[in-house]
Amino acid sequence: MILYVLRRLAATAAILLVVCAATFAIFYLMPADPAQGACGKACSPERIAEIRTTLGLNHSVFVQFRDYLVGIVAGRGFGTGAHAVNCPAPCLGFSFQTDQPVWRMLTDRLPVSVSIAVGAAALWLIVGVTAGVVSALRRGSLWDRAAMTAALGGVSLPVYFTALVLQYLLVVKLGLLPYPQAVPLTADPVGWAGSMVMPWITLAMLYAGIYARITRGEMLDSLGQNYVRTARAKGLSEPAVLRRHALRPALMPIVTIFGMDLGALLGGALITESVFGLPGVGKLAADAINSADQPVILGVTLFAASFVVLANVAVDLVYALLDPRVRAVG
Amino acid sequence: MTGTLPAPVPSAAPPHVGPRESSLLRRLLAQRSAAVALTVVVLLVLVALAAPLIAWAAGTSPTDFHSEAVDPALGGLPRGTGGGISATHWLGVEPGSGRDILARVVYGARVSLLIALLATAVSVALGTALGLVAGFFGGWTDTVVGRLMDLLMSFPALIFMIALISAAPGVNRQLLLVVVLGFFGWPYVGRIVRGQAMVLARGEFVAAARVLGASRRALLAREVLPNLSGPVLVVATMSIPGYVATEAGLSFLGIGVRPPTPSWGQMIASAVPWYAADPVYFLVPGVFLFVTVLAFNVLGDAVRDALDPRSRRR
Amino acid sequence: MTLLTVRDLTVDFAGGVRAVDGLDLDLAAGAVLGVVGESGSGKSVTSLAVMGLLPDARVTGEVRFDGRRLTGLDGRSLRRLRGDRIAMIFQDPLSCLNPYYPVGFQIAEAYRAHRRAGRREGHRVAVRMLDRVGIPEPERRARAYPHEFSGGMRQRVMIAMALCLEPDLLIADEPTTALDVTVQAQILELLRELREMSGTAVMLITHDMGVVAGLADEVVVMYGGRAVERGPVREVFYRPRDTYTKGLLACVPRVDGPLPDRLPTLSAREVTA
Repeated sequence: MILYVLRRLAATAAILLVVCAATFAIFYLMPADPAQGACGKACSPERIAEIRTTLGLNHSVFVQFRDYLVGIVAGRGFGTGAHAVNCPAPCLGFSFQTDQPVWRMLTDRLPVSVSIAVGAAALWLIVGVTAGVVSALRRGSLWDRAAMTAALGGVSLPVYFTALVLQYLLVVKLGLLPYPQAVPLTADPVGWAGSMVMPWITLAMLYAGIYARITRGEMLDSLGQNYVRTARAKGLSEPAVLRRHALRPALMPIVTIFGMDLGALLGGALITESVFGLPGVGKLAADAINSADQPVILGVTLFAASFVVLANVAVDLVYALLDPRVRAVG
Repeated sequence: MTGTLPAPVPSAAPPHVGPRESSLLRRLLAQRSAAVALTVVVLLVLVALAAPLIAWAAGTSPTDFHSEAVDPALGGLPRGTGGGISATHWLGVEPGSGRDILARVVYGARVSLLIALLATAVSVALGTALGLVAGFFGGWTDTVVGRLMDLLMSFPALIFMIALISAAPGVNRQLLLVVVLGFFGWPYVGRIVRGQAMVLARGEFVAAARVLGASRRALLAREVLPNLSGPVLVVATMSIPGYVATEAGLSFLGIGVRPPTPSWGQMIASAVPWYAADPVYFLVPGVFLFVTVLAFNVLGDAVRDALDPRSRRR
Repeated sequence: MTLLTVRDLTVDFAGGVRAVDGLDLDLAAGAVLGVVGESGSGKSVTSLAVMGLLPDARVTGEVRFDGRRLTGLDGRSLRRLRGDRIAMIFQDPLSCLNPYYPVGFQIAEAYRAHRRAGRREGHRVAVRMLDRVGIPEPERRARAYPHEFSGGMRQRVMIAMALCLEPDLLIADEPTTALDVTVQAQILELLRELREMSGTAVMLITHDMGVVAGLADEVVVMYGGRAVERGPVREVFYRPRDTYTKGLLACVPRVDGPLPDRLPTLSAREVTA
């Protein structure tokens, strides 16, 4: 088991390194000039040359990549003298547009993204899995058909469209909710929840649809298993049969995709945050794209990629804990 | 992020499901939902093809400004009710510029469908070629291709696409979208083709052909490839809605199709500042996008049910 | 005393498939009844119908167990009987055990469902039963998962699960079919021993005449959902009256006879003729 964990962590480090290198290569090979981006539109050639030196852009790509990796581990400084800026570890780059280390910008905005992701995840997990289970147990019923139609609709709704419709109805027309804004949970729990309700519903409509469809399929699969028949032959009560022998195996694949989806969302719900104007990691990425702030785009990409990759590991480990067969192999 | 990646598909469809187009069509049309979805898709394709004709019939183009249709005193809101719906502008006009929404939406259908279909073609071509080679030859080829697929599938694709596209300012966006979508989509095709090819390569009829002296290339082309058309058709159909949604999402974020070329996602993005005063502006492209994705999703499910007997009992 | 009576049992599946067609069975307490037939003859469906485990089928006729009518009994009362007084073991022990729970838990589950026992008592019963069915180190193995057992050991686990409540009737549906030949013999030997000790009646369902010969007192031969021949094992074996039974017996190569060039094949025409 310990060996298994170590092996998985080593593979993770390798994937992160590949992601890092690939991202770095894209920005190095592409024609956009990071010095130009850092300086803005009205910028003298001398200033650009100066920034190039500050950013170390006149070194080879390998040296730049090495400096970047070293910066992540040990921190680094940019430039010398009066213009010198310090970027403490873990340094994911420095945004000259906002005059901040990228890492600090990311961590400042993480709580908003976490609030959105965790709340939405709880909502879609409850709604989606419940709907899927009930549909499977009453296959072919009116409920089943209605729920599966709704699920397909939810899967097909673009989040920004859902978001606009919700905001138009709930805020503009009915005045039930305030415009979403970043309210810290600790300062004002009610205001926090009020601001988060629409992002939660928006994301949950999409994911609950996906989860309901998958849960239904898995549940029908496990209900047809021989061990469910054995459980009934033992004379177990129907709730025990369903919970222990049908639901438990059906939930295993859900664990996998849930981990992946949650990991992706923790790294920023790009579109949802942008539409509602909530300052999370995703909004940071969207803003950086619009203002061509390359260090930030690079930083967010790595940050979000790390969440996805780490979610992968977490899922594998949880799976190994839950499934005795995988555990034995590890 | 959003559900913008190709939907998960059954990991392996059974072998020997050769689609006989006529019978597949008949089976699809027998299901009411699939028949409706197919009709919607065909209509959308017709609309996209006939976009210039429709714009001509409406007496406008997607880029014509109609300043007479908007009211400068109201900050450029369309005159009249319902976002400026009138005899001349059947679905209203854009606030500010007064461009005709109908013309932009039908041209947007062109962009949306073209990119989605081409991206599907790229991913199917790449996935089939690499999956076939990996599954049929096995060994180190299989190891390399398999690892590559694992890596790409565990990649945060959307954020990576964004980085890639935003770092390439001077490139033709539509072409880049097709390439990027296809590149991140092929492992989903490749995984299934690989599994199928592995089964088929050990199949008796392939062994028989081999005994009869068929070359490897002839085996691939004549024995294995035709047997893959069913599963590949299923993945391809199921991945189209994902590509439509991803293109719209990227365009919404401002890194997809560039103006003045219209795209649904981009139209919704430009409707955001106006949504409270002029909801029609975001509702029209939004409904078109929703209906398109829904129709392709229903169709994808139906094609899978028709070609994969295992899934039908669900 | 008759323990199980089946009268005019008919089972229809959706789509007009009649799996069992007017079947009569009688099983005395403590006796072993062999139900033989090829696959599709309706023997497994019969056993599931007795257990009330055919939710999607239309079951008519009458099943009486220990004087009580099982057909038409409410789900709750039926569930009390299942596992407690009527237990069942199946053909493929791997797919019949839930891979996510230790075998000890799954054995205890049956016991606890009927005896309102706690976790600890359930575990004690499971260990005792594992020991009785011949699993070495039962204390340790109770905590192991199904995939950690061999095929024969898994079937022993199934038997332990079925017998932990000392049922009056054990329905064994092809208990040895999925096993290796040597393991088959061991499992049959185990069933015989346990049966002699506990006095449990057994309804043994199999396609294998050899298995019936070794274990059963009476035998019913089924074909196409009907009983084509019945009687004491010896009688049916030595003086088969039905063409189908004769054919079935001819399919078993005999040690004491000449080796046939090829084994006979049964066709539907031969049977109905």
